[in-house]
Formats: sequence, C-alpha cells, structure tokens
Amino acid sequence: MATPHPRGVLPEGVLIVLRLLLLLGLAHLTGGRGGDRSGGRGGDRTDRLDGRDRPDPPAVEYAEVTPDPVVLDPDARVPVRIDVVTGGSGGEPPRGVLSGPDGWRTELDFHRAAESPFEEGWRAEHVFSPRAARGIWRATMTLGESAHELEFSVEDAEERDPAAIVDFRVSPEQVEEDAPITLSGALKAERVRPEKHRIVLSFRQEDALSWSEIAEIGTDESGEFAVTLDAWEPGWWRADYLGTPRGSDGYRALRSTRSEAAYSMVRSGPKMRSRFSGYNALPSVAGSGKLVKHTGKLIHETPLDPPPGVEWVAAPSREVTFWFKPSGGSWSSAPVARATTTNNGSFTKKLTAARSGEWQVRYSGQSGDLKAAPKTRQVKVR
Amino acid sequence: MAALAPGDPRRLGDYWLAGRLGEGGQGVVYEAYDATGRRVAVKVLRADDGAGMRARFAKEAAAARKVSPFCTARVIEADLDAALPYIVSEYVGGPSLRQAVERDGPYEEDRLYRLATGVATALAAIHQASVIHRDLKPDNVLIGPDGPRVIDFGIARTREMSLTTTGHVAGTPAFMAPESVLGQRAGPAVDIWAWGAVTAFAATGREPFGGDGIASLFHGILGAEPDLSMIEEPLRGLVAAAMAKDPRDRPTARSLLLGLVGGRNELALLLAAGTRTAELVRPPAGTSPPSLAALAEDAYSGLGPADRALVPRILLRMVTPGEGEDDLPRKIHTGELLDGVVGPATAERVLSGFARMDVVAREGDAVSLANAALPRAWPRMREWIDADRDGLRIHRQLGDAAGMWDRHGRRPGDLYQGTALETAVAWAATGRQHVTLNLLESAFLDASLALGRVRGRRRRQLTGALSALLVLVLASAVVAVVQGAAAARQRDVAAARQTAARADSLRSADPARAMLLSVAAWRLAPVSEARAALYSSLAQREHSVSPPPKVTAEARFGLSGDGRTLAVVDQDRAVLWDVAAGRERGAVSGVGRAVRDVALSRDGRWLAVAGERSVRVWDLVSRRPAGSEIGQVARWLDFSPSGRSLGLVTEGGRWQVWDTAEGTRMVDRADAGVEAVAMSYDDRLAAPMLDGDRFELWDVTTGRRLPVPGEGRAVWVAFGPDRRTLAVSAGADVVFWDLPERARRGGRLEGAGAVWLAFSADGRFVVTYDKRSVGLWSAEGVSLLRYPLGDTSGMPSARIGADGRTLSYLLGGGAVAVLDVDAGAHSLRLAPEIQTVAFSRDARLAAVQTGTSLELWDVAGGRRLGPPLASPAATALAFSPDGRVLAVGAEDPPVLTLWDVSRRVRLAALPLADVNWVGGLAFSPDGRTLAVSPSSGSPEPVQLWDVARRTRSDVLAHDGGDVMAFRPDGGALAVGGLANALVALPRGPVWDRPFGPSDDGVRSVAFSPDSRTVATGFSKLGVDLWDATTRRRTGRLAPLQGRLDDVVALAFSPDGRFLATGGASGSVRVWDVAARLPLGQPYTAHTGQVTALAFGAGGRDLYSLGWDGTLQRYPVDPGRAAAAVCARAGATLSEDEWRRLIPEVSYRKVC
Repeated sequence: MATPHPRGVLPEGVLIVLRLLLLLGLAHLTGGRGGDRSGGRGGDRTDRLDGRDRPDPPAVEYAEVTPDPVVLDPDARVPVRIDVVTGGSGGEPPRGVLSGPDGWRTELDFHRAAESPFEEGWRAEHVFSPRAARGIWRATMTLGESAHELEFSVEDAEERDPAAIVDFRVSPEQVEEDAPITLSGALKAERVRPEKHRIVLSFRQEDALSWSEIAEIGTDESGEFAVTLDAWEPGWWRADYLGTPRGSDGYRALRSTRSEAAYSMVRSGPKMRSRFSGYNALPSVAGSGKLVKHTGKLIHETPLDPPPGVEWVAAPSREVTFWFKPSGGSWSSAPVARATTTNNGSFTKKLTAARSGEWQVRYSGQSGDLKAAPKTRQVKVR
Repeated sequence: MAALAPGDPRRLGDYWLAGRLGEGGQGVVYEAYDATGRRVAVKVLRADDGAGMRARFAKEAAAARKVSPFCTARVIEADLDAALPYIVSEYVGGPSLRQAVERDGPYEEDRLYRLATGVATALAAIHQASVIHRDLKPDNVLIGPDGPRVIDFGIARTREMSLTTTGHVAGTPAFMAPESVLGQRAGPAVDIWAWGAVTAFAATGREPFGGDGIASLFHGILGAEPDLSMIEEPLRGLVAAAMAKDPRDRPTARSLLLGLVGGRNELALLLAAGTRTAELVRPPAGTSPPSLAALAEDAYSGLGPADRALVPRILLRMVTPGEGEDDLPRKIHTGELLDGVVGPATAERVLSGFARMDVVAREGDAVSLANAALPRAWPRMREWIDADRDGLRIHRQLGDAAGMWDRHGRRPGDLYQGTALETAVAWAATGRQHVTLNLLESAFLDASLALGRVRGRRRRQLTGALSALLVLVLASAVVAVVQGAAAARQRDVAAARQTAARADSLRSADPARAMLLSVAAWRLAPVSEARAALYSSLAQREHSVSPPPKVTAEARFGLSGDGRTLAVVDQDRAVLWDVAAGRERGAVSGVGRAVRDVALSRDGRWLAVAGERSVRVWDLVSRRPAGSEIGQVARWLDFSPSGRSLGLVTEGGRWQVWDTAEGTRMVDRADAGVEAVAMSYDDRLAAPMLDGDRFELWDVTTGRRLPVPGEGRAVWVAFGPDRRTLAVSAGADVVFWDLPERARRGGRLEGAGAVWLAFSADGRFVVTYDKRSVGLWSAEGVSLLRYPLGDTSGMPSARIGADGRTLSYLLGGGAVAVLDVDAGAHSLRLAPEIQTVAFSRDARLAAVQTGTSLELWDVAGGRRLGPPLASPAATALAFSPDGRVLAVGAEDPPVLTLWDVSRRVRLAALPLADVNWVGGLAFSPDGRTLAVSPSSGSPEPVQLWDVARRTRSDVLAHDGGDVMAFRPDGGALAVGGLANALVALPRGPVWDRPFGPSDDGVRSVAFSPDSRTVATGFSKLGVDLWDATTRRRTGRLAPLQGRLDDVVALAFSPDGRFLATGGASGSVRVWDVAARLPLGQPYTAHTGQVTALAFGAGGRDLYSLGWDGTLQRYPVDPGRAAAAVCARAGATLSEDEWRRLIPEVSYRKVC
C-alpha cells in the first residue's frame, strides 16, 4: 500500500509544533537492554499461550488524551481522560505523571478499562480547573523499562477555532479480504476554508485496543478527503486532524479534532491474519549516529484446526520493513531498512539514529499471510 | 438391495456405493460404505433437478439434523454443493413398515401398540425439534433393530417455515391429511393424521382410503371415515382422534404419546418411555437385508480352515489396487487362480461358497467381485488389500507380463529383466503377504531369472539371500509346506494388525482397554501397526472412561471432589457409584423423581437434590434427609468446599446459603442477575457471581457485604484452600488476590479464558474450563495441560486428582473420564522459559539458554550440571559430535565462544566482524569445522571456522539460516530457511533451493545417519525426504488425517529407521521412514514450540525440549514402550477379555 503524502501543506516549523498536539507513537525514556526481565514484576510471569513462546516485553503501545485540545471553561472544571494501551504488562498498571507548563505535577492513577487478546487498556482521569496553566501539558507513562510521552494543549476557547471531521466513512461497508476500500470525509471549520490540511488515518483491528497510523492524506479545497486502501481485516478506521498552531500568520488557527470511528467489515478469506508482538526500539534516547536496536516478533494464525492455546505461531522467513517519520515530517517514501524473521518469527535490526522521530515496523503480507497492523515506537536523538 | 444401475455413480465423496435401496421422486437412495467399512445410506438428488430441488434437499438435511437421532436415521454428512448433491445417513438395518407388513402381514395387539407408540415417540421428538415431517408413510418408517425410525425428511419443513409459507401439495396421496389435499397450510397436525393413517395401515395391511384413482382417494380423505375396526381400544380412539378431518381437533404428538404411555407430565420422560416401548418393535427375523460384509463373512466362515487360508490369494486377484484407496474390481479366469496349492477343486469350492452369497459373480469361466464396494465394505478384505497394496501393483504387472509372455508363445524377449525383474523377485521373495504366484507367473519369473543367469547380470541384480528365498517361492510344493508352518505366524500378524486397529478405535470410548489392546497387539506380532498403537497409548491423554450404572434418560449426576465417587439420581433413587471399581457403594431411596439438578459435596457425604418445587439435602452416611425440605426452585446449586454450606440460586433470582446439616438459611438476597455462588473453605465468605461479568463478596456470618478486590469484574471466582486466596477469571487471564492483604499475589493463568475454575484440595493446582477445553495449572501459573474436550455436556465438572497428576470430568451420559496430565512422556521443567537450546549427539547433554543464564543439563538424569556458564546470553548453541565442546553464539557484541564442557572453562572467544549476531551453528561430523550463520537483520553468508586453530577458514557463497546440518560423511552442508541450499564441501558447488520453493522455507533439516537422505520440515506441508546425492524428492511424510504442525525440529534415530518431528504447537511424533507413515498419534507434550529433538543412545528414548522450558522423554524401544503402557494402564487383559476381544488367537500374557 502506498502512503499518500500531502505536498507543501505547511512549513516544517509549523509541523514540529503540531507534533506536540497528538502523537501516536511511543517514546522510551529509559534505555538499556532487555536482559533483565525481572524489573518490578516479580517472578510471576510464565509462558504465554497463543504461540507467543515467551512473554512480550512490557510496553506502552498507544496513548491518547480526550479531549484534545483541552479547552478550559472559566466557570467549570473540565474532566480529561487519558487512555493507555499496554502489551505484555502482566496485569500491572502503567505509572503515569501529568505535568504542566508551569512545573505542576501529579501522579495519574490508572485503572484497567479494557482487555484484548494481546493488550490491556488503562484509563486515568484528571480534572482541569479554570485556573490550570495554559500551554503544552505532558503525560508520561512508564511500564517496566518502557515509557511513553503524550503532549497535549490546554487552552482557552478563543485561542483557536473549532474544527470537525464530518461524514467520515468507509465504503463499501463490507468487502472481501484484500479488496479496496475508500475512506472519505470532510474537515469542517466555521471561519476557515479547511483546504490542504493533513489528515492522518488510523486503524484498529477488531480484537485490538491500540490504533495504528496507516496513511496520510490532504484535504481538497472544500475540506474533503478520500483515500483508497486495501482492506485486510475487520476493524475500525478513524481520521485525525492535527490542527494548526496558534499565531500562524494569515490564518485563523484551528484546533485538532478526531472523527467518529467507522467500522469496516472484511470477510475473511483464505489468508491468515498476522501480528507484531513485542516490538521495541532501544535505546529510545540515543546519541546522534548511534545504533538503535529494533527487535520484535511476527506471528500469524495457524490454519485448519489448531490445538487450544496455539492459534498463533511464529511466522518465519518473512521480510519486515522499517520506516521512519522525522518529528513533524512524513513517513519515508521507501523502507529505511529490511530484516528477515528467524525460524522463531523474531527479527532484530540495528539502525542508525540520525534524527528524532517515529519508527514503524511493517509487514505487508506474503505467502498466505495478511498484512500486519504496523507498530510504532519513538526514538529521540540527543 | 438392488444392484447399481448403469449410470449410477460408483463412488461419492468418501463413500463407495454398493447397491440401490430405493428410488423416489427426489432421487435415489443407495447402500454405501465409507473408508472404514461402515455401512451407510446415501441419498442422491437427481442430476437434472434444478436449484429449487437442491434447496429443498438442503432443507431435508437441516431438518433431519435437528431431530433427535434415536428416532430417525442420523445424518452423517451432506454435500449439497457437489455436482450430484447427496446426504449420507446412518444405515438402519431393517425393512420399511410397508415391506414388513407385506411380508408378515398386519400388526396385531401388542405389536401394533408398540409400533404406534414408537412412531408417536419419533413424531414427538421431531415436533419438539420444530420440524414437520409432512411425508410420514409406511415406506418412511423403518423397523430397525432398536425400534421404528422415521426417515426421509424430503419435504419436511421447520415450523418457522411453515408459518410463513403457504403449503403446496406435497406428500404421498394415500397418507395426506385433508388440509394438504386442499392445499392449505400444513402444520404439525398433518403428521398426526399420517400417524393415524400409518397405524391403520399397519393394523390392516391396507391404505386407509382407497379407490380408483386420485379423485376417489381425495374424496375419501376429505369425506369418508376410515375403517378402524381392526384396531382395539384404547389405540382405536387415538387413531380416530388423529384422523379428525379438522386439524384443530387432532391431538398433538405429545398428548398422543401421553395417551399411549400415560402417566407423567414431562416430555423427556415421555420420550424415554416411548423409546423403551418402541425398542421392543423388532424387525421380523431375517427381514433385515444383511450387509455385504455379513454376506462375505458368512461365505468365509462357511469354508474349512484350510480353504479359508486360501481366500485372500483368490479374492485379491480380483482387485486392481488404485492410487489411495480407490480399488477397482477385476475380472479373471479361474485358471489364473491355480498356483500349485490352489487346484481346480479348491478354487471351485471357495468360489462357489462366495458365489452362493452373491459376493462373487461368475460368467462361464470368468469370475469377478459381484460388488465393487466389497473391498470397502468387508473389513477383512480391506486389511488384506491394505497389507499388500504396493505388492498388488507389482503383482498385477507381473501377471499381465506373464500373460502376454504366454500368449505370445513364451518368447525370451517378453521376459522380465533389469529393474522390473529385481522388483518382482524382491517382492515375491520377501514382500508378499497374502498374494501368491500362480503357475504361469512362477514359470515366467523362473524363466526370467534363468535368462538373467545366462546374461550374467543376475549377480549384480540380486543378493544371494534374495535368490535363495526365491527358490522357496518358486518351488510350489515347498511353498505348500511353508504355508502350513507360516500359517500360525500369518494369523498372528493379521490378529496383531486387527488388535492394533481395535485399540485405536477405542481410544476415546475406552482408553484403558485401548492401552491393553495395543500391548496385546505388540505381543502377538511386532508389526508396525502394533508399534504405532503402543506409541498412541503413550500419547493419549485419556486414562479411562468409566460408564455409570444403567440409568434412564432423566438421570442426574454429581461427582465428588476427588472424582472417585459419582452420585447418580434416577427414578427416585440415589446411588453412590465407585467410578474406578464400577460398582455401587451405597444407595438411598425416596429422593424424588423429576430431578432438575443434583450436587454432591466434595467429601461425598452430602447430596443435594433439586426437584421441580424444592431442594432436599441427604446425608449419605445416615441415608436420611438432613434438615427439612428447602422450598425453593433451584436454578443452580453447589456445596461449599467443606460441604458444610449449600449455595443456591433460585428461579426467582435470589441467592442463598444454607447450613447443610441444620437446614437453616444463612443468607438470602435478591439479585436478578445472579448466576452462581462461590463459597470459601471456612464457609465464612460467599461470592455471588452476577451477569455482566461481575461478582460481590459477602461475609456469611455477619451478613455484610465486603469490598471486592480489583473492580469486582469476574466471569468466575474460586476461593483457595489457604483461606486467603481468591482466584478471579476476568478476560483472558486468571489472577489471584490475597484477601486479608487486599492485594494481588503472584501467579497468573495467562490465556486461560476460564468460564469456570476450581482449586485442588491442597491449593497447589487450579483447573479451568473455557467451554472448549479443560486446563490444569500450577497455582504459580505454569500451564500443565490444555485438553480439548470432545464432549462438554457434563461440564463444568473437572476434578483434580492427587498430586495434580490426573483430571476427572463428567461426560454427558454420566460416564467419568480420567485424563493423565503427564501422558506417556516423562516431563521435567528446566526453566520458566527457554531462549535457545542444543542437545549433544546422543542426547546425553543439553545446553539451555534460559531467560537469565546458560545452563548445562544431564538429560537422562534430569539434573543441572553445576552453576550456569559465565557466558553472555546465547543466540545459538551447538555441541561438538563428541560432546566435549560447546559452541555459543552471542550478540552485543557478536562473538563466538567455545567451551570445554567437562571443565566448564572458556576455550576461545572469537569476535565476528560486520555482523550483529549468530543465528545458527553446526559442527561438522569430525568436530573440526564449525559452520556459523551470522545475521545483520537477515542471514549473511555462512562462515566456516577451524575449531582447532580458532580461525575462519572459509566463507561460503550462500546465506546461512537458523537451521543447518552437516551430512554425516562431512561431504555437504544443508541450510534451511527461505533461501535453502545444499553446499558440497569442501569448496564444492552450491545448489540453491534444492528443497523447493515454499511459503515459509525449510523450518528444520536433518540427514539420515547413512548420509543418503535429507529430511526437510516445512510449515503445514509436513516433511520431505530427499536423496542427498541426486537431490530428488523420494517421499513425503504427512499425516493421513488431521493437520500437521509446522515441523520446526527433526531428528533421525541412530539406525535411521525412524524420524522424529517436533511442531510449532508443541507436538512430537515419530515416523516410520521406510513406510512413510506416522507411528501412532502425536504427543502433545509442550505448551509452546518444540525447540530441539534428539534420540538417546541406541535410539531407545526420544527427548524433546520446548520453549515452555520442559524436557520430555518418550520411550521409543517397543519393549520399553509396552512396559510404560502397562504401567500406565495399571492392569492387564484377563483371559476372558482376551477371548472376547481377540478370539482368533489363544491367550497370551499382556502386562
């Protein structure tokens, strides 16, 4: 699948700021090797079924804050929800710290909110008072060695104009495996022509909790957008608009917004579903030019009549590709590197860290496998 | 049975058609046999019928499937998309009611009453399944050996359909109800009418309304009263009511049945009573057409013992073996049968015996099988063919060649030579089972050999031993003598095969007997089938299935905490049943009828019986009721672990806790969503489980609600015997809470998906049930067993035996199944998880990289050798062939280290430049060279290292892979992976992908010890065997049925006869390499991927290591396997059982 890219939409500097508004990635603030697995979780983890021969390393897979931005109300307190998806957590909640631009800090108390075969969902709530500091707030979640940073804007209503994505839909609603689907919608704003803005399309498999960024597309002069992709699994699609920053000259600034999720029914065919498990890119903070080690595992469903507990087995000798999106930029148009999975489905690739940004591992499917939803991790370069 | 007509199919799907049973509007019904010889009925839709008929045909299959099988012919299979759509159903051995009446006259008095009851029972069951038959008539009632069965749902409709569709005229006119004649909507009442008409037909031998033509018939149906004077009351009244003109005046099937059997007001009881009555409706003696197998068996047993021994060689000549199992009949001339032992008189005796039974057909001098399905239908013949299948092909060619040689004047040019001669002689001398050479074939082979001698080629073509044996074969007189001496051995071999097959057929129904039969088969003759059965006996999880005492359909069952005692409540009586001994241990009468549910306390002392209106607790020691009757209608009930309390969920949506002995109520709370109640071991706490996957916690003594741990989310909870722990199943996992500490404690049953769970009495184990399989876990969270259940109707009822070694559970009919947790394989847990492993060559040592350290293990002793090696984490491991050196590949930094195993010191550390880590390692057979497959994300070219000099000696022109193997003679290296290769050494050519392109590449690779064969394991495809020199594929190992695991590990036995395969899902199995067949069922020993396999010294044991961290041992030597099976069975086969099960051969000691 080719990822469409907007052209010449916004200056790079603007996008760097935009990045602060919503990130679908993961930042590892702590480095180090995965050799010591015992950290904080005791010896209670055992062999995991489903063909994942050993437990995935604990990681924050995905996080989002709702609403984003947080628009303060001078007369009322505004509740905010922070949803985090973890993998390999062994039932342990992530730890979270919320910090404001004024140096104010508080611990986030995560409660288990959802569960899927591969992930656990956690939720923390925070209430912003009318006096809360305006600016970029930061929620930092840690789990084992893994950490994830989420930044969002807390602002007054008059600061930016509201925007909305309307009529977001997937058509046809029901397709066969590998058949094309078109995702379309329109970005609306009251006082601005929402023309040539970037929309990010994300997908969540039916049995997953985290969203994976799949494609980017620009809106046309009337704010509409449409992109055609190949469907591979039933699940939910969503469109995100990242907003425009405050103070950009000549434009009215727009708030970020997110569409309703649209369900895409994909009838399963002869191909097997595949998944990444336990993807990591470490160290997540690296010196410029240093090597970052990307490890993980690719598994796929086993056909016919599997014994209980082994519906998923290693996908060996598969080519996985690595893609990079520099902070505020777009995904590379070609893979940065490739690796082949071993007999155990695992892959390891050392790649040079030149710039901060997000790394994605993708598998486009081969020999009877469907593609896997990509996994994203963030690497910061000092 | 009528013969097949020209144009009839000979085979449909997996069924061989033998003849026509009948023909109707929709199609033809055939008698047929499946691959196992089971007799079935196959109904085939007419080829020229359109989509409408096809849809109706589909409805027939669906309707018949909805109905209880006892009253109809069970549908086995339906292929509605085939060019000729067909439905396969159970063969009901018996005539139709019409045939029975035609042959033996009308039914009278009791026989008529029982028949009417049987058909009414069937109708009640059909209507209960919301199906309307709509074509009930004497032709559709079969008088089976266990009562009448209603068949042919050709125009049946489910009741929902009949409400939305107006009926069109369907049915057989004489038995049509008035409303059907009028074209009105046909409800269930049309079947009631037809029941009356069928009963009248049975009583009179005539259709109830006659006349000249259809108009007169319809006039009678609509207006005339049937003559029922031949029927006595009370049946007459019921038939008259059933044939009321207005459908609204007819009784329902249920009230009809009620009128027939009287009494109680419960349909299940009625059906049970009706079935019992109907069972007495037996087909008249001799009216059931015997199966082909029975005919053939009759002819066979009618022969003298000497003639019987000659049957195989005679009948096998009438078969041309096809590919697979598609054997074709062959017409022969009687002269072809003469072989020096079979003379014309013998041939005549045997043939006429079979011809009398219509098993063989004779036309003048020619003779052939009368029915092409015979080889499928007659198990004995199938065994003969299967035993000789390959040989029969050689024999057919030999026979044809000999015939041509004879017809052409016996010219030398038509004789066999070269490979054909060698093959034929090898087969004739050693490979034959049942087939013999006839005089012509012997002469042909003799002449061919003589010519060969003249040509001087024979020395190269035949071994001395073979030609010596051939002398015996060709001298007919000697053959006769050998025949006599070998008869006993042949008989034993045949009996061994048969016994092994019987063992395999009993695996799930009677696993204990299956084990003993497999040993018996091996004791009879060491044939590979017996060996396979032995291995299957070790692999089977099922230890025993013990049937309950004889009960009625309304019996209810409860299992004690140790699974050893079964409470059976039936017909007002409660029986305590000793499961293992199969005998009654005590009984209590007066416990009530119409029992909804029962519960037995874990100690077997208390029994709670839930009736229609109340619950009563019985003290099984004093055999008296405990306390007074509990006036509650229970939806669910169970005792607390101690048995001192009884938890109830009432129909009214209340949950209650009662004191068992006192009969006093301790808690009574309303909650419409309550589904069950868990109670603590000290009877202090109760946890009601509510819909929406929630639970609450209550103190029973104070009646207060307590805060719940977590968020109160659970599908099921169970209290631990330590009185602190609460196991909570929510989502995919089960977690444990320490209640006093209000904190999570260690341990987690990952992926258990439990909808029910329970602790063992000592708290060390937990059993879970996920609606599909039962799981056993250590309380620390180690998965010990995950077993898919074939029958879940008695669940949840799993009980953990002593030491967590067994699991018992109830099957639907009250039988108790026992599973062995460590079936067959001896299991040892080395680590919670394994990163990479290697066995030394004879499996003496194992090197294991766990999550934290690199350890050496004594495999046979099952103990760790000293502390971990001071090595960085290994990514690949290999032992030198002598087991003295261990090579360790590592990453970060990429380095290769060599270790002296006995002194545990590092001999060398060799850095690898320009790569990231080592993916695979293999030592050459002489131990001097180490093949290293480095990787930088993808495999890099293979490096060869000189072990003594510690230098890299070569880099091969091909990428490596995780799996590599040297040829035992050192002349080649095989590399697995997607880009597999065979590299000739030293510096020889590289063959790229000689093992074929495949989706996932070569997952595992091994050379046979003689260097001649390479085995490659694949995902989904099984194992390919290749000629190591020519690189041609010589065979494929794949299971005959079921799926094959991705083959990720391979090992040849030291003698090369066996190949062990290990799968991605943790299964291990052994194959007979020459026969290309699996030896028995796979062991499902690991809960994750198998990582390494190795045979022990002498090939007596096989070892496997899995990602789950366990080491398993399997006895391969059949003597040891038999001993292990005997130990497992814990019993032997008595002389009586032997006589019953293996009547062909006199008793031998089994265990």
